[in-house]
Amino acid sequence: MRFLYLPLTLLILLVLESVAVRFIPKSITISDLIYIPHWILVFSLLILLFYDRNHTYHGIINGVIFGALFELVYTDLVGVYLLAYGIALYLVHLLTKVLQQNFAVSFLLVTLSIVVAEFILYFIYSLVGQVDMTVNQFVQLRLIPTTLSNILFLLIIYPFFAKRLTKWQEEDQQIK
Amino acid sequence: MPSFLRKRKLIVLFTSIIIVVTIIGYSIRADEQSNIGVQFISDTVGFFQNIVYQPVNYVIGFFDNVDDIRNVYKQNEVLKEELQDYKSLAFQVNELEKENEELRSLIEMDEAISDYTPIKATVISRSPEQWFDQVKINRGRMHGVEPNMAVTTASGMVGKVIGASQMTSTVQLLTGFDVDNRISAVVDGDDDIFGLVEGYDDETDTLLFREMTDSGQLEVGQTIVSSGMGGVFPRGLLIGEVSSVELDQYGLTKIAHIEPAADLLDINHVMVIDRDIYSPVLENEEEEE
Repeated sequence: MRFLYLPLTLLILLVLESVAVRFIPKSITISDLIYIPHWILVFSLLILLFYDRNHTYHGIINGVIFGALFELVYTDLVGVYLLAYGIALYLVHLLTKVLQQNFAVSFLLVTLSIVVAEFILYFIYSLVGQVDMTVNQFVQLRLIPTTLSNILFLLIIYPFFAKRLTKWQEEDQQIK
Repeated sequence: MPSFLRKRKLIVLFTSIIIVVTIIGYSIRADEQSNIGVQFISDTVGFFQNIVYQPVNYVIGFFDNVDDIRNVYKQNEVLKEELQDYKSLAFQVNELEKENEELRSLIEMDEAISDYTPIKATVISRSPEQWFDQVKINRGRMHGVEPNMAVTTASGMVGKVIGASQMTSTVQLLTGFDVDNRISAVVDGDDDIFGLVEGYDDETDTLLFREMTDSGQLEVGQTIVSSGMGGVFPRGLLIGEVSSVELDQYGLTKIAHIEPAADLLDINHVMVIDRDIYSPVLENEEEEE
């Protein structure tokens, strides 16, 4: 029953994301740089890498559901995060068949999936008129700070969860 | 059967794209939080946020206090000076209020457009997606909060309620205002200058006020307040001060940049403004339901 821990952790991350925004010092919020916590995406990716086997889709399903919940709670447009997280995680799912499970790979994949998700978000939000930004501005002000801050988050949670997720997976396997 | 598998994948792909586009299209138009299921979700998350925000606020408050202590001496000097003015001002206000009440009772007018009941609320979270300038507060429909009500802090207006669940509601901050969220406003003390606050300029961090009348008297330094003519807000909510005036792109009307009176980055305690007088917008919504 360890797979129930996954949505629970994601729910905690969902709540903490909004708290984290308040901890950003004022000097940074005044500057135009935008840091978006994509913690749900990062954690879903770890699930995908360390918990999922070839035929299971826990990472993608959890990521998509909590992406949609994130939007219901924090934005008034539903479906955009759902799509962005879904596509980013599915790409990673395709790549994991080729790649190994280790830190370097997860580092690389987190960077890739955040860049993909951010570009989808940017594209759809500009399409519906939520934002008005040139691609250059977007990359400088939002994409780079967001990617860096989420890699920082990966560095923090990786030691806690990488082994643990594999362990949970093995325990679930035994029950079956 | 590889061809069958590929076909199935294609079908899944296309149906999910159709579903996602439908969801996006639907949510652009509709007010999500009128849906009971959505209200339940956002209340559940709001419940956890309520638990978390207490200790977090304490920690943030502590650091703010340390910051404040450094400036205490300077502030004290300034405040002492201002206190002198304040005393005489308070006396004047009292007198005027009394007189106003007497005059109103003379003409048997109980409700003025500037009367309102404040609902006190605390901000429990800020949207992590910073392209949506939204915060959540811990008061909802059960406490009398309805969509479209104005939200202020002690220093001025900060935004309006765009969605209300039972226990929590979502506030759109002034920084995220666009043509869809306009505020009818006037210059304080001069009703001839009337217009709409209809957007936010990210580059100068000011609100855009478009003058509807052609008085030619719009000047830097004037105070802009809500007019109450939009149907939901009461009259006299402080919005900000004019920092510059220019012609619009067609050269027909004047546009003023307004420095918001409230600090929109650091919001903790707010008041939701429920105006006492009949407001057609809120009534219509109830009828529709």
